[in-house]
Amino acid sequence: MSLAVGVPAVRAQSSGPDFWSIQLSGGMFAPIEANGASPSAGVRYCKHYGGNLQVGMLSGWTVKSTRLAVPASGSQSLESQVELAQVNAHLVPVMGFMQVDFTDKLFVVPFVGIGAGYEWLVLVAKDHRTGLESKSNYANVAWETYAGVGLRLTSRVRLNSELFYNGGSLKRNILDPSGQTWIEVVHMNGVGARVGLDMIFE
Amino acid sequence: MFRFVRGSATPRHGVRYLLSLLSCFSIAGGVFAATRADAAPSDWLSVELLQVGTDSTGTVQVPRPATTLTPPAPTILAPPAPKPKANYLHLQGGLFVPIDVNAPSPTLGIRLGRRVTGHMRAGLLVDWTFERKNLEQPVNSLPGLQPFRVLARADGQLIPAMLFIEVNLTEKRFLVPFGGVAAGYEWLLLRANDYRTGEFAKATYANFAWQGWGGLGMRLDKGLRVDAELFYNGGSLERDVTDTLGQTWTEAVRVNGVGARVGVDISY
Repeated sequence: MSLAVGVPAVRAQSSGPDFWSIQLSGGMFAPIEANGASPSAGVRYCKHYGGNLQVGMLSGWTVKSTRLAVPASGSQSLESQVELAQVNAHLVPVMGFMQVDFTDKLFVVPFVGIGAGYEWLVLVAKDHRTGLESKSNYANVAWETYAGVGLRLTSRVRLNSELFYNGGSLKRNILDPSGQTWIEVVHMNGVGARVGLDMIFE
Repeated sequence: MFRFVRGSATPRHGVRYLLSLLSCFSIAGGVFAATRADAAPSDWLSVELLQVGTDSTGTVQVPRPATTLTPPAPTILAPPAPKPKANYLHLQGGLFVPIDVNAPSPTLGIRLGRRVTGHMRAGLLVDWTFERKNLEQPVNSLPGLQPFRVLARADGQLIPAMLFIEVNLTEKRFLVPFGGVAAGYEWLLLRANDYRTGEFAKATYANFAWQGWGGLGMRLDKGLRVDAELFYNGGSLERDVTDTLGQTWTEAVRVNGVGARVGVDISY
């Protein structure tokens, strides 16, 4: 199969100690406690230890925009709505990760990975009914795991498609009017899918 | 080529048969020496037996090696077998479900081991299982990601530290079935906060405990294996408490349960 697609060297040139790679990916992420999926983009930068093990850092950016709207009164069109509130969420993880490729010889490369680190969430809410606008920052330790399949396009470029799970309960401390401190949390557990280009360089 | 010294008398049939047999052995010995790395050096076959001759009376003689007749075959030494790496680091993560608690909890662990025999390794394992329960209420009614206010929180951390023995059923195949047992001590740290009343409680339970596991590993490289395993943790962790009357009681938390975890096994 590798000959058919013209892969010059099927075995990845990643068995040496000085190979690094970067993956640029895009996909969707769907938190369990929020309806709908959101677009996300990510990057993984890592060093190769042997032909099967990679260790590095990952980051990403997920944007979720949600509106509360009602149909406009007197309108005959379903598309005409009045927006009552809007919430925009930005999720940014920064984690260390470890990935295992199950083969470094074949054209199709199954792989799994796990990451752990910190995650930040920025919630920007506008309630047009009350005129209130708020911006809240949540952060906490979080983790991620993923599994997928890569197609080795050349000896240095791979196309990866993967499913991933993000787990985290991001928090912030708030003071109520009586001076008591409370913890607010936003659960960011959810699943997603993404496709990325993995490029090896020395 | 092979050359026999012929005496004045023709050898008898049995002697000729014996010579042929020895020649076959010598050729076979040379072939095996070249193809089997673990075979013993066959110099004695290739040199001495090829110079077997007969004297005038027809008796078989095995003279000393005569370098003038047949040069000694080059000695083919088997390359030294690579010394197996003796130490192992196993990093793992998964889920653990105590039987008395209906919720899976994430678990992380490490096993540091050393090869004892060909298939057996022994060492120390440490795990960390974390479970958190919140009592929450929604903050607002806005759509999308919903913040929750935490009214009360309970955290449990289970930490075993054990000695283990693990057996790999093969050291050569790509798939490596394995199993292990461990015994040692286990701690359970419980913390509870009620933010509404400001109450805080903390308790530590400990006792002897054990673990057993079995799984399948995929050998990706000489020093790298990916393992998937099921495990059982058994233990009844205790603490002593004194009631208001001064009587001492024993409180126990059973942490028997099953779990699944995947890990990376690195030898060094």
